[in-house]
Amino acid sequence: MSKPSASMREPTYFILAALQDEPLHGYAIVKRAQELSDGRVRLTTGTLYAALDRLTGEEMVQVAKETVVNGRARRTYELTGRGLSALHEEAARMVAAARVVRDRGVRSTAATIRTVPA
Amino acid sequence: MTGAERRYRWLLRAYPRAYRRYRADEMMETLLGTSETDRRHPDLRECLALVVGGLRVRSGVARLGSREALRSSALRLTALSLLVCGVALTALPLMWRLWLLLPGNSSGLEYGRSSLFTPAWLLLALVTAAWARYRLALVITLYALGAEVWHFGSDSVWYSAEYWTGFDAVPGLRTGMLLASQLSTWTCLLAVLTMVPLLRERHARVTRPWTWLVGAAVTIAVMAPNPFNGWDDHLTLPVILAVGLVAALVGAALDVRISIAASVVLSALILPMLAYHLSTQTLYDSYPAPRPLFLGAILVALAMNIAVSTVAARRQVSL
Repeated sequence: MSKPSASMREPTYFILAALQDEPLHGYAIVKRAQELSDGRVRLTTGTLYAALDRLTGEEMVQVAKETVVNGRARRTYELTGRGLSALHEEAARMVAAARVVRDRGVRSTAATIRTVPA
Repeated sequence: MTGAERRYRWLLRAYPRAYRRYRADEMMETLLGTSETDRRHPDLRECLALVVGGLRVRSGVARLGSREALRSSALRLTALSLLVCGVALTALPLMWRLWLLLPGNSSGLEYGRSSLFTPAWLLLALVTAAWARYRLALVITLYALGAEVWHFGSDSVWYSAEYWTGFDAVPGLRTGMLLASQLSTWTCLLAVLTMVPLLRERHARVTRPWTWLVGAAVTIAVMAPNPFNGWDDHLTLPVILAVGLVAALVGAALDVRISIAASVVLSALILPMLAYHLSTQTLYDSYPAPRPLFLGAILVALAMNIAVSTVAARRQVSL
């Protein structure tokens, strides 16, 4: 297990975000991630399971339940405490990054209002 | 079983058997779920992701959790590939001479003389490096390099560098140029440079180290005179260069370690050719010829590929 990296890739972020409300199985994670990202993140099955393998290895996600549906094994995944805190850290990092641009935008708008004559 | 399911099952073969035993059912469930709502046939993006994902699991890059582990693994792969290349290339002249000694092979072909010590030292270095004894492997590779210096410094091979007599004004320069134009010199040098950072690694348990010896044996068998290469060596180097270039360029998408190792091995093959052409050009004061420029351009492309692969490595291990 290694230290979580400073920034997270977008598919990983939305996989963790998809799992924050309830445990989900693979297909449900794909759909939820797509909903949460307004259709921008379309996970392929190969990408999803590679990410789940890595997240399970990093102890951010764990198997919550294993069932058999239509004769096939189905695993449901849930966030661990470590995964939840990594997700919150990433969200805070993005908010801080967004603030840099937003605050500058507000300041420059205020400066424009001051300098433009009425 | 539907047509889509059959196609997906076939694509899932990209993953190793043990992985399929654990994951295939679950992945199939997800694949069929997405194809039911989105499309009737597997699309190219999904197929590529499955193949790339499967090959990454097979290569083991998916298990490397950190940048340090990936760096160490890339260095090990590069050092071992260079040693395999060194063993094969230095053993090749001996194989050809053995072949020429066989009855019915008294052709006029004069194959370059070679030292018996260099392939032997390099094979020993390969064994020790494969078992992760890098300190010992480094010393043995330096011995191999020393054997090359001794061999090319001796009068017996100077006949092959008669056209470089112009360098005799500076003592040792002709030997130096002769060494710089040898494949074995560059493979030894680059293997030493690659193993130096590995000395700081803690002794790690390696899986299937013997595969490197099998790899060396197969490489020699492919390059030595055989019916497949038409008992001729003219195609050997072009084939190696072509395979290496494909590995260097395509490898980055699958596993950056392959791309880095292939680029370094190709550089070890191109550097002696470039040294030879440049020294001849300098000696005879000729205009820049297209071949050294072409080789130089390939070297620059390989260096850029190593840089790009190093950057891509961060992406392959990031979450």
